[in-house]
Amino acid sequence: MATIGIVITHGNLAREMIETTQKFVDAKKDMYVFSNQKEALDTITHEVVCLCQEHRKSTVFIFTDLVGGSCWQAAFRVKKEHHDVKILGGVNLPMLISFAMNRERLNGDELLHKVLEDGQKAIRVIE
Amino acid sequence: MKIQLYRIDDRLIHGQVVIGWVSVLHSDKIILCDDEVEANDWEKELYLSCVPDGLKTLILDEKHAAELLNNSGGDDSKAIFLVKGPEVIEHLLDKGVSFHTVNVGGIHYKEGRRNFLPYLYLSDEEIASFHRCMKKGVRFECLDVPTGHKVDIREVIPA
Repeated sequence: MATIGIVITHGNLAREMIETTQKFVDAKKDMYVFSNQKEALDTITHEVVCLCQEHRKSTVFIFTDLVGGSCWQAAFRVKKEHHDVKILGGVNLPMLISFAMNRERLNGDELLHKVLEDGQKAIRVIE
Repeated sequence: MKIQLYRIDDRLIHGQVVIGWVSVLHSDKIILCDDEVEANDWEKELYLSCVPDGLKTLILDEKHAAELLNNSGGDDSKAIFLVKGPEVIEHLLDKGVSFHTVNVGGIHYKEGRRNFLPYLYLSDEEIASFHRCMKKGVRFECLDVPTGHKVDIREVIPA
């Protein structure tokens, strides 16, 4: 089953994250970005709901930057209309790379687990 | 309980509040006053999902919020009080609550609203509501994040 990715963030972060992910893997296919500074939250919610309807047969992953931020709220409102979307807050580059690398071979739940694991494993500290 | 900040923000609990303001004011409580949110479990779940660990949250309708504000004594907790728009402030004034200064943190674009500041879009009805509150002695300071530049709303909206 196909998977589409949506990234909703503050400022230009979403676009830049996808541009940067693209330097490592092919990240742009069925990937959509939204900025809360360019569009009203209601508009973002509406456009993402429309995307979900267009891709009715796909699994939808929504990445947002700050958990609890306005982009998170927009994603949460999408889930009210489309229960089967998966929302991942606190997006980092390794999560998007993992998503791009594994989306073709894993189903929705496996992909969610993998992306989350890779995102968490990628945070390390040297003291 | 001390209300550190009364704030109008149509996004209610979000990053500017829980990161921007809470970290500067060292608040330990958020009070969200909105009849629609209070009456809808799904909306409540949404806003509660926006609150970081360690911060208490109360979601109240206008009636209960007015009771709380009119009788707030007791503990020494520090709270931020959030509403979506000036009409809620008006309703609370009608219920006997008094406000000295209210922060205007954000009312965003939707159809029928005009732009006054990057984070402030208002309809004619909302402008009238601000004026009615000001006639009752409320002062409104526009400021989205604590590091921003504070502007009196009278310098921004038509008289």
